[in-house]
Amino acid sequence: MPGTTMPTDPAGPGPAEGGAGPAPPAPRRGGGLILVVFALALAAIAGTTLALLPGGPKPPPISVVGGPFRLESSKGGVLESRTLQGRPFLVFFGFTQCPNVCPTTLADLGNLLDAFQAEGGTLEAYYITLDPERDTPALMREYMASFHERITGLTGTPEAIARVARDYRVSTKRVPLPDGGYTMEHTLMVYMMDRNGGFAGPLDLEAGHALALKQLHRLVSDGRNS
Amino acid sequence: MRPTASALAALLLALGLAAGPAQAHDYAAGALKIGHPWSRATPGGARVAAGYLTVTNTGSTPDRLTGGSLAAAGRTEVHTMSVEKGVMRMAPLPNGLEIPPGGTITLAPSGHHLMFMDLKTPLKQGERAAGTLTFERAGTVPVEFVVESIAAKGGGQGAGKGDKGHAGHDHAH
Repeated sequence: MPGTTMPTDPAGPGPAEGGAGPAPPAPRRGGGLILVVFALALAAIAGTTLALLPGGPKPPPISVVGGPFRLESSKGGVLESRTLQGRPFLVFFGFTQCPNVCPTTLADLGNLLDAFQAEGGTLEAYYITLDPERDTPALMREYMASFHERITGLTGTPEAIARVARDYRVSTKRVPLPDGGYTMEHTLMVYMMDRNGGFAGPLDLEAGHALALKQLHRLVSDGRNS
Repeated sequence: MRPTASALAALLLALGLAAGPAQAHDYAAGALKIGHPWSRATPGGARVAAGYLTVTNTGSTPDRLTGGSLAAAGRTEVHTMSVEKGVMRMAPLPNGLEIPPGGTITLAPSGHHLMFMDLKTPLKQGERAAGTLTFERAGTVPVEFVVESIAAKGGGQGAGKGDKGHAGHDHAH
């Protein structure tokens, strides 16, 4: 769960210190990752099974990634995920005291959503903080104003955030800092969720916008046609 | 190589085409050559920022980057970031980074960086934020961090793909 605090490794990321190449610290969370992979595999099997079923009344969505949430919106008020029923959406996780990846992902996704809108598409994205103690609704409102208007920031009680992080199989951990305070490690994936709130796969922002736009169009048209 | 790059940058500036990375700038401190310290514009309410640069040791004695400062920030630490199987990992480097003789260290978005914390004022694209770098032997060196776009990923050397277009919607300002 997000509140978990691990002691600083006294050995430190030693090998990473000397040379020019960043040497990642030793993996400690293989179990969690295996779980995620297993969960994704299950989702794939479930999805395939559903796709092969003959027509008739549509079964309830089966997804092991994702789930309902009720969180405070950076646009004011509370957002309940059930109000998203019928519309695909994007979800990703981070925190405002994130120096590297979070702001660039938010900016990148904003540019992608602009391009998607230019092609006639409409899609909402939700940025859920994993640091609810520091990321208050007021701070989220101020922070999200620097990004695309279709990206809404969400925060909530530590319990509500822990629940949504667990439902989305997010890997997250607090890392204490030498002079006090902490930073966070977390899953970087941008989740594509279908119109039933089911996981439709990760959005690939690294392979260029052309491919990502195709993914978004498919996500939206699947929602209409299936 | 470098004069050509500078000339090109100057030309682009003159033509008003320098939409991408800001012009590279360098510093020297004894045997250390410090290349293009930069940061990126911070979102509204942000309390942290990151600093990136390269340091080359042209001397025969090892040195060590132990920290730095930013006038706009309360404190600064050397951190490293990595991505493992889709999870971003962060670790403080309390002993800093060694710069061996003839060696270069690179602080960049995908790895080592200076972590500026307790930010008091936002960093705005286009400004130069005053700060320092602290080395074990070379001491404290004043530098300016060029503030690039909120989407900048690459620094002065070769624009990151996030640098193009209108990066971010700066509604807050």
